[in-house]
Amino acid sequence: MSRGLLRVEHLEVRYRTAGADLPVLRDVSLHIDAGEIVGVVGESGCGKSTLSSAILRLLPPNGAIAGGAIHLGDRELTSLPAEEMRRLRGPEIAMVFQDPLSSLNPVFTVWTQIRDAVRAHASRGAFDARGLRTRTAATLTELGIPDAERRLDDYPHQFSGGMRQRIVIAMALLLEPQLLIADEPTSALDATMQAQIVSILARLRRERDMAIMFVTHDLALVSHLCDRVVVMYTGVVVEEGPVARVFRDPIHPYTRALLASIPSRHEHVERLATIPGSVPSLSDLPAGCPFADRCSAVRATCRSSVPAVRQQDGRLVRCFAGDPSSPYASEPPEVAVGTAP
Amino acid sequence: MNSAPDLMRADALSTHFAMRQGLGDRLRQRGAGLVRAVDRVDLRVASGEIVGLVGESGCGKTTLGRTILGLLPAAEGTLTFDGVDITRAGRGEWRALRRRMQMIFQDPYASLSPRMRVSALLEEPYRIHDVPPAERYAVHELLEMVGLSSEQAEKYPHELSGGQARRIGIARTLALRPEFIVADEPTSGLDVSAAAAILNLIQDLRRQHGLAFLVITHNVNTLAFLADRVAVMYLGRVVESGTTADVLERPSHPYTRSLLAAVPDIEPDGVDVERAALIEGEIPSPLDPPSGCRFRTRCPHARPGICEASPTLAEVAPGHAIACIRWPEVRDDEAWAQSGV
Repeated sequence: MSRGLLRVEHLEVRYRTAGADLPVLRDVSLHIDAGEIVGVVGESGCGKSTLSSAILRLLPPNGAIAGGAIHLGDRELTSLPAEEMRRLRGPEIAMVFQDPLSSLNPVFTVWTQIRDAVRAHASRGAFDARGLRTRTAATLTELGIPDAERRLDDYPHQFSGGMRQRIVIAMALLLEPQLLIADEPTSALDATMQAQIVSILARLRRERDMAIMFVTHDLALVSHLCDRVVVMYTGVVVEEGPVARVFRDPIHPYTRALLASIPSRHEHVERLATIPGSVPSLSDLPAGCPFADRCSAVRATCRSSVPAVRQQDGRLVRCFAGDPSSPYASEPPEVAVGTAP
Repeated sequence: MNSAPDLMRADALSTHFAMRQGLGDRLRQRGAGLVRAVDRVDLRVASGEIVGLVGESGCGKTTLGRTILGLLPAAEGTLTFDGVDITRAGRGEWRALRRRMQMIFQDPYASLSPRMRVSALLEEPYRIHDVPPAERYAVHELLEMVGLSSEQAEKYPHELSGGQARRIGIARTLALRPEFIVADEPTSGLDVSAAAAILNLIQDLRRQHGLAFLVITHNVNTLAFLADRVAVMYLGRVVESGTTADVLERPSHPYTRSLLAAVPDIEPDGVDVERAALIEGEIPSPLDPPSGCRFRTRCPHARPGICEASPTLAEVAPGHAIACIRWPEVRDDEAWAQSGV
């Protein structure tokens, strides 16, 4: 089982809401190796944040894992007792969220919070506060916080957004996790600060062989930082593969449309491509492919059956187009619903 | 260079915010602090032109936009609209001017009353400005201009998607047939395909109605698609301005180069994010900005004894200006020439 530090297999997550049971994640599979950075991208509501919460078993009370498995090393997380799962968060899987303020308690100093977090995970008697303080200051310095030893006694509000995000990352690192789940960690930050944080993540991967799941809506950022990319749409993975292949030659019509709608400095266009229609509601998903209503390559089969994941050109794609064994291959194209990507 | 006459012109325009005099200030017998949020900025927008204003949070770009529309008082400098000095215009004059100069606000939901239907929201500007019926657009005409169907007229704001709410906000500004629109982060919070549609709409409005826009954004890639000219702000000052091609393809000010290196664009081959030309540290507080060149505390080219003097915008090529005292040396710096953006 050398392949895949994290292996998510056929994961199903449902949210109970008033009068409906929403299939938020459907048949989601992905793997992340040690030392690998995998980007999970998609538009709002595609389930990318639910995926990180599910892996951490931190779904909201109305959400539940309804099927599939999550393996971290040789353990299966969906069946792990809550207490064991709690001990695993931090030392094995750490997380960094978009808003560092919500991860830090405003009434305690940075040092108090870091000390308590590390102590909660230390085995009895093995905790050395003085040693930890030295290590914490060194880590903060490494992450670019000037005068770190003195600033440990400051409160979160005395730091800027970028500095707070570094503190949260430092807190995660002190527990030396194998896997870091970073959910939109730079979305609230300015470009130059984002670049600094991204550079820190790249260095941590190289120096510590840490695996990173980087959840974001920013495809450009993924192309800079990640080795592989997982593209999600309405709770399913539509395309997964190495960044170079997916970005140079996207196969799934949704990936193609998404990439074509992003303005670029390198390419001058008269008009940006847009995707017609809007994302379907999870309570009213189409019978076939969830992208069928907006797809420029839609044919009859797409309306009636859900495409399975299949291998194509070194990646995984969930689309009938390009599958010679599907009835799609012999069907006539529908009248175009929108601009082709 | 655009040879059309300037529609909007700001000359050495400044906006100051007075801080409250705190106890510390009183004990030290000193007056309240003054934030020079916009500091002697020159900017012009011709009829039918789209000018982009880019910078990170706190650089003063939104304050400049609001000052240009008379929503904040100018502390110094002059503001000219259609050849008339409007710097000291009174309330009545501004009321008339606002029909010709409009703003698209960042948060569309905050600018739309939740209790009014779309049709009433679209007619509200006519009531406020007492526009005679003959000069009014019909609701369906306004909806059509922003690419919405007339069915939307009966909806309330909460029934609209983010992209639709943004379009209603734009339709409200169009109702008064303005000549000049300030769009502050027109795509913030939107998913990429909805954002692309809004950017296309702004282009269409310029082409079809000859509208002039000042687009305020932190996303340089947006301006590559949208803008004819670009001005880059840092801590209240314009540090570089020129045609979009000049600024984005031949960035010359050290800050512009750092900013462009920090804003990711799709790169299928990846980027060495650890080695990307990063600038250290954070934007200094606008309360206590560095003297002279405001970027000198973070600039790799800053030299003591030289950069404490205030640089002024000077042309490095026709129509392409930067504010950097060390420009000739910076240009000839070999390492600089090689650090591609």
